[in-house]
Amino acid sequence: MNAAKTELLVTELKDEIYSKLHHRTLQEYAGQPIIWEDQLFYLLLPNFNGGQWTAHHQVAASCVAMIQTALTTHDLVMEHNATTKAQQLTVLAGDYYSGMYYATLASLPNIQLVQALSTAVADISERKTALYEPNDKTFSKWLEQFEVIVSKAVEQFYHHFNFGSYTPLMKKGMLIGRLFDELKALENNSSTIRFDDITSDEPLSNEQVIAKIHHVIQQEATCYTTQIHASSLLSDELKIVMLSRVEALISEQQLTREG
Amino acid sequence: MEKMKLKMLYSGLKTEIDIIERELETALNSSSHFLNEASLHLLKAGGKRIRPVFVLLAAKFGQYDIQRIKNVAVPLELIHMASLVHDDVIDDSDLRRGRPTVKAQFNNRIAMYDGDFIFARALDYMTNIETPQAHKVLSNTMVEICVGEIIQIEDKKIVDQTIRDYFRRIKRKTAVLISSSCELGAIAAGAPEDVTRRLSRFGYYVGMSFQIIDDILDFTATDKQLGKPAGSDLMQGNVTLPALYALEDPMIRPLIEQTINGPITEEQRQQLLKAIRKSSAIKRAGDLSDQYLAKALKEVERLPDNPVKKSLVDIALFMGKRKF
Repeated sequence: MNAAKTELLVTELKDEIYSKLHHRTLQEYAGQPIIWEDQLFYLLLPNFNGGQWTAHHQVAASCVAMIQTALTTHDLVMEHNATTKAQQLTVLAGDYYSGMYYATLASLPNIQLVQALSTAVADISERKTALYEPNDKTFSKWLEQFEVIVSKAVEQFYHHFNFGSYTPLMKKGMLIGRLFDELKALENNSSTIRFDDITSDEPLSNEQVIAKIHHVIQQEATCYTTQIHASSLLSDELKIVMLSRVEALISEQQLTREG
Repeated sequence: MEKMKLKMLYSGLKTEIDIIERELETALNSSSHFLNEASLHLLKAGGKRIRPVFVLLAAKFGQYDIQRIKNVAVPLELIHMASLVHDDVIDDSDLRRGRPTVKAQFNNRIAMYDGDFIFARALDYMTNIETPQAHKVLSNTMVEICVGEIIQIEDKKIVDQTIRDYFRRIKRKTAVLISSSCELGAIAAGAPEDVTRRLSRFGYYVGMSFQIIDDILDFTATDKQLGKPAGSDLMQGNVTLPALYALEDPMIRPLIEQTINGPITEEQRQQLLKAIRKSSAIKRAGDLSDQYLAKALKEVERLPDNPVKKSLVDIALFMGKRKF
């Protein structure tokens, strides 16, 4: 499947989710739901690669994105004084999306996937909380937590539908994509993930954290590129699509660094 | 006194409630010590466990097996707990039942993660029930509760709202979860459909009566009994049934308008409470609660003969007549 077709399918899935999660008041005050496009790409990856893909898979994939959207929405609630109407409705938007995810899977019905995703949500919430805890922290531990936070839901989806062979690629791809997005947010002071006290042994300035993340992105992107080249799982056409995506991200990253 | 009464009412279910308590502890156990601390707080704060009790009682109209029924009773209480954790962020509340809230103990973000964690654990438990209908009921309930909260924010500080607006709100905010507790208990136990429907209606009426009483108590109970300042609902801009009735009194109306547009002084708060307590608003709201209670009791009458009917009546009466 070529780049244009994959983009079209990602957009279609995104529109389906927007339509399911639409609520007039929430939209007005909390804004459009935040959907990670890179997550949609990886949810659809088995389909892009010619794997079995039914209407059931499509709805299930939309549910994974819905629950991730719910969790991401709650990351937008301020740590203190979330007293504005917009903030109050941000809390409720996350809860509403969470309810819609469950209602959609219940009507499918796919109760086993509810179970698998509940495990993911509990794990993600624990790890997000752990970022605030005064544990012994190292940058690599932080990175490990971050990787689970961004990839666990898709990992469970893959496992449930026997797409597990895509997991290593997805984890790496999600890590790079999400790190880059968080980095851009961090540079604009709008990051939602906790970057404070990333390490307990050496306090890092904002600039040092940014430099470290840039470095990780470079490293992981090289590793990801090698994985794609070596993959016997992916079609040649899909390999080209994935390589051009990572190349585009690295180019943008270089521009960001220079800028 | 009220706690004693409740304990007596639950005495027939003591073994099962102990099982539910233990399951709640297990469900809330986390690898994060912040989440464990937050959960411990929630568990210690207690609560009436009304929803699990209704699940258990409703299940007695079918094949009663606590090992199966607990898979519905535990998630319903967890969902209620998670909603409270998130509500405290929305209401910026530092105290609940006299104890610091999760958001006060940590911060809003941790409260969000804690609520999400508890929701997840609730659904995890619920997946032990394979009946799709049970999941449809619970998921619709979760959406409805949320829509109720959204409406509550939309309706905030609006003094010219109708009683119908108020009912629309409390139906979703409270009655739906109690109704679902009864319905899900019956579904999990495989009770006949007509009995399930009747139990669901019973829960709905009890829930409406319960919330009206809750809204009355916000004006009539003491700060100590409430664990927060009396009149808090109005100070947060929530115009409840007693306030809607009191707004009809031209002497009280300015006090209410002043309160919802706040902040008000302690003296003004006392003045407001005194005026509302003295007005007919409390009695009128109480009468309406009684009407819902009567409807609930009528539903019980029409249920098939079962020793548990007396417990349903007793608990409904307790909830509809409680003093705080």
